Amino acid sequence: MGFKLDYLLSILPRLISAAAVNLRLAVIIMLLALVLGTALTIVRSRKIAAVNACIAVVISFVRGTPLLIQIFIAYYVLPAVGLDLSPEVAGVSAIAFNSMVFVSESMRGGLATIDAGQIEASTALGLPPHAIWLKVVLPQLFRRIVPVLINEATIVVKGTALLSVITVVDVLRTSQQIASSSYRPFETMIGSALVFLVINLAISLSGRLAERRFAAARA
Amino acid sequence: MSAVPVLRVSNLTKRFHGVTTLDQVYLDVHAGQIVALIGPSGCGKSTLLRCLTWLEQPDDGFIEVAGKPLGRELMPGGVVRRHSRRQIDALRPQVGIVFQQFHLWPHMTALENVVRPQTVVLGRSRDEATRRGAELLMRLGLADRMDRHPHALSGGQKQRVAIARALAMDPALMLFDEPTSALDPELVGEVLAVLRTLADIGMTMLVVTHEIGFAASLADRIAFMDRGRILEEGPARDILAAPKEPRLQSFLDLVRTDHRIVRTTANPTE
Repeated sequence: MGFKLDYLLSILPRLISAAAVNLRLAVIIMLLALVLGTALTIVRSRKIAAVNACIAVVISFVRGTPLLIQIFIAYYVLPAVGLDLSPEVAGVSAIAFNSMVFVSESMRGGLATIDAGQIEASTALGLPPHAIWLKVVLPQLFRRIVPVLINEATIVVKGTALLSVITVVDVLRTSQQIASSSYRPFETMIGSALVFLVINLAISLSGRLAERRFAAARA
Repeated sequence: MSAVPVLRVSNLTKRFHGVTTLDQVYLDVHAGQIVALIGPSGCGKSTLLRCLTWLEQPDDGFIEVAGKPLGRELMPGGVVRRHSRRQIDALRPQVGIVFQQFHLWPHMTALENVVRPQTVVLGRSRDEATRRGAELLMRLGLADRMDRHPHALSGGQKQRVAIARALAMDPALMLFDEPTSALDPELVGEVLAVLRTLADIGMTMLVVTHEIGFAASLADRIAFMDRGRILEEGPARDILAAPKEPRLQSFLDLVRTDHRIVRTTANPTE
């Protein structure tokens, strides 16, 4: 059974419409990861020993276990403790939680490169702590970690394919359904790979543009 | 002139890990005065400035800015009450500080550096803050640099933006931490000129410096600090011409010889 380009072209419309699911979930996940990751970074920066020890345990769990297992835990284990989530919600929560940790880790790295003198200058001017975070620290931090965030966004997009195993009908699951009825896995898998590749190339490209724009504002 | 000093420091003491950096410091600065704080490095000059903005918490003693206690106050009955961060922040704009390294915000333009604290801290409208910021930057000779980010400014320009940023808060007192040390030696005259323009508008200033010549040509009064204490304080001319304290005497001798060395090595052909 050889490769047929016209078959690939014929299934692309279905794959592209399924990609809307991946894109929608990826956007929600990234927004959640950014908000939660920022919150986590601020909590960690307060250096409360007991809190940071708990966070360290959670982080080592997230970093040390496969994302697929984390997704399974969200979908199959959480109902046992009374949290019965739909496949999409469970999947989004699992990946967002995972991504939050990576966002927070890279923010923590970036935080060390922000000159403490700026924070002192802000304090001396009378800026309250929340204003120092919002106006001084975070704007610089986000600009500095744009490359890392772009990388994380591509990982999140790829991660959404894993949600096919908990019955989210995404690009991968759609292509599996097509393959199982047509017995043509070659074209369908190539097709779904192409869809992800195009999305991630677009993300990398826009990331590079954003980086260039922010470069001017960097010290 | 009002009798209440713009800055009153009494019995200020600060220890770091058992080392006394500030040892019962007393200092009054009256409205319109320029006081230079001199002394050997490590004598506590910068620590004193940091305490005056509460970036460092003194272990003992009191600070009053225009009659209002900063950080902690003595209540009737001898009880010392500590202020909350909010109370301290409310008084902080009264004390402008210009750091040695300026510490401008690199992600904002020069104008935005001056505008932002006014809107955030004083609650001024954007229009009003922009007007005030532009006016200050213009007066400091930065009319054509307002839209630049700090990395595109020279050291002297950054310093003037930092000065404008502090002045925009309408402080009662301006503190300068070694204003000449981060700049090229030929800019010392420029810094002097800028500080003089501030003096002309009646700004009260406390300037930490180790350049005696700079202190002599700028200050009305000089305070000499050594090992965490202010040993001698008085009119600039008297202090430099007739120091009473032996340690000040030897410090001045040392600094003056140093200057001669610097001069001869700078111009070996002379």
